[in-house]
Amino acid sequence: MKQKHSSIILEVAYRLLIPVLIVFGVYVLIHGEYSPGGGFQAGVILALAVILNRVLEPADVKKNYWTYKTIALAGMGPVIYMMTGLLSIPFGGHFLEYGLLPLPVHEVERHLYGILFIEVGVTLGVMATIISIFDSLGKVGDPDERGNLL
Amino acid sequence: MKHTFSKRSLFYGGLCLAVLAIMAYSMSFLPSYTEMDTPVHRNVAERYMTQAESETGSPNMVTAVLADYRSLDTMIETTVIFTAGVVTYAMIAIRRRKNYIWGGDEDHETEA
Amino acid sequence: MMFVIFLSLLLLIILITGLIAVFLPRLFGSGILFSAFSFFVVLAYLLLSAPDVAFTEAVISVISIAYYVIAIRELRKGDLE
Repeated sequence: MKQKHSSIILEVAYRLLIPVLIVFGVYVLIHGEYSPGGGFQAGVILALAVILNRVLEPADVKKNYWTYKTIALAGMGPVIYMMTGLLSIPFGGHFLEYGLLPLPVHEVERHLYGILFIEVGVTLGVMATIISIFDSLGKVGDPDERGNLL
Repeated sequence: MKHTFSKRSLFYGGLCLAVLAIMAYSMSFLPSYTEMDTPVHRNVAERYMTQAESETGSPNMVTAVLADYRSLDTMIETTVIFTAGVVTYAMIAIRRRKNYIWGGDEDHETEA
Repeated sequence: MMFVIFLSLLLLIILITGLIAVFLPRLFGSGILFSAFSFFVVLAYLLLSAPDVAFTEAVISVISIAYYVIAIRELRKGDLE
């Protein structure tokens, strides 16, 4: 990152923890069909990486967190979920019927891809929601050009 | 630091303990942990345990139930989480923004 | 039998930690005790062979202690009353 942290322990912890958290979050998301895990847990772990960045910032750094854009990203999660569900309707299925998704694989494997798509949606929604709640609770950033604070 | 509990705190503590006693009493009517004859284990659980891997391709039964059999529930759950974020933003952040623009009587402005 | 004894001990610890976390007058210590509470809840879920729920609980306890720390810091500044 561009700025130095306030102490050497925090900086080392930051550098060690952030990549591990991101890789583990993506692993939990993708491997969620075979092991404990899934979209919700992956979203929280990915949000923890971002929140750790915000916690460890020095107090005198100018902040501009744009919470309403984060909320727009959180709204993309349910939209991806519903689009995956609606995708099987033109091919003769019901809402969220994964067996009729237009993918060139076997029918059971289509279920796996459908589950993966909706888990991506859940991950996006949970991650952005947790970051936006954290920003709403935490410090107020600098006002943008229209005078809006968050 | 010596701390004494107030009357109100003691009242709510007693209320918590009373509700806890009622719940502990009603827990004694629940079926025990390893009983196989309860309605939970008789209706649909056997289908999930035997057919989930061949029907959905996912060896993790929890993911199969959450994301395939009951995926409509999970969709509404995601919407509920999104609503929680929007409501927190509306309760805390917009109030601060209004105080910044209109110059409220208390000092809610930026401190960075 | 060992299972039942261990689970009862765990549930007793959960009860004691939760009660202390509710009645502690200091906010920060209350948050720390809440994370101890959810650690024992994670152990109980693992004992009841539900690793998925245990994983969710562990992750959620981490995120909630971050929320508590931020909210307590803002309360001390007198920013949110």
